[in-house]
Amino acid sequence: MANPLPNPRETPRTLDLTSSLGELSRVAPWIGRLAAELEIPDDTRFAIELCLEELLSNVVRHGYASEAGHFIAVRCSPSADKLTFAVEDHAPPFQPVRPADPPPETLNTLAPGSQGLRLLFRFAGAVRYERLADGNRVILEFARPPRSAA
Amino acid sequence: MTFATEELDGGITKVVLNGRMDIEGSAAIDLRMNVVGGTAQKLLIDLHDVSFIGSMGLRSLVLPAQAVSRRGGKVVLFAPAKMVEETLQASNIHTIIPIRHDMGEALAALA
Repeated sequence: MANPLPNPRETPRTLDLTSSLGELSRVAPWIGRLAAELEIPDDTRFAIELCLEELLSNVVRHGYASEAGHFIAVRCSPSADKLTFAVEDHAPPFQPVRPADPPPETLNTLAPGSQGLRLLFRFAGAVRYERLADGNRVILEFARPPRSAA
Repeated sequence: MTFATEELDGGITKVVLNGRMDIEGSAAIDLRMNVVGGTAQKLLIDLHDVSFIGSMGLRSLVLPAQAVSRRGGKVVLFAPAKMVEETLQASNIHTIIPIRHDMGEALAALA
């Protein structure tokens, strides 16, 4: 059976971006529309926005070395019990790894810009990596609370 | 992202932030945060109306806090919303910069 035609009023499940930090301002409004359609709770929406901001800014700054104009795509795949977001790029291999817990820090030893991967692994339910022939795919999963009965 | 300052009794500088401390929002306030960090001795950062914070937003808090601390000053984060506070906790910032939800306690921490 053929796939049904997409509902033209439905928010697209894929967001195509190019590699600049300015492009990332398009992500939160997209997540906002998905959250409204998919009844995503506010805390889960916060976690999704946070993880995507950290992951996508890593792709721009490290994967593409802040060179503008390269491909990035984010795809949302909702299911009954989870929301899956896949981020694909054509950058050199880069697998996000959970950082080790830091030693006790003081205000003056805290590295102010070093928290991105820690936040990613703390707020995503799961983080998986796939090396593609021409890039990287990072898959983030977020638990989806049961929807209340109508 | 909006930014406002207010001078309180006791030499306390209160900074009120409002909006999203994402990459774009943090960039919009960084310069003013660094100016405050370069001058304040007792700094109260009101996060009540911050709806989102990412690692760049954390950086916008930590850099001025470090500047104040290097001069022997004190910093308190005030009234973050639940998920903003969870982000501060995930980064261990709450162990370094005190978080208070009661204004009296926040002012006392700066005394």
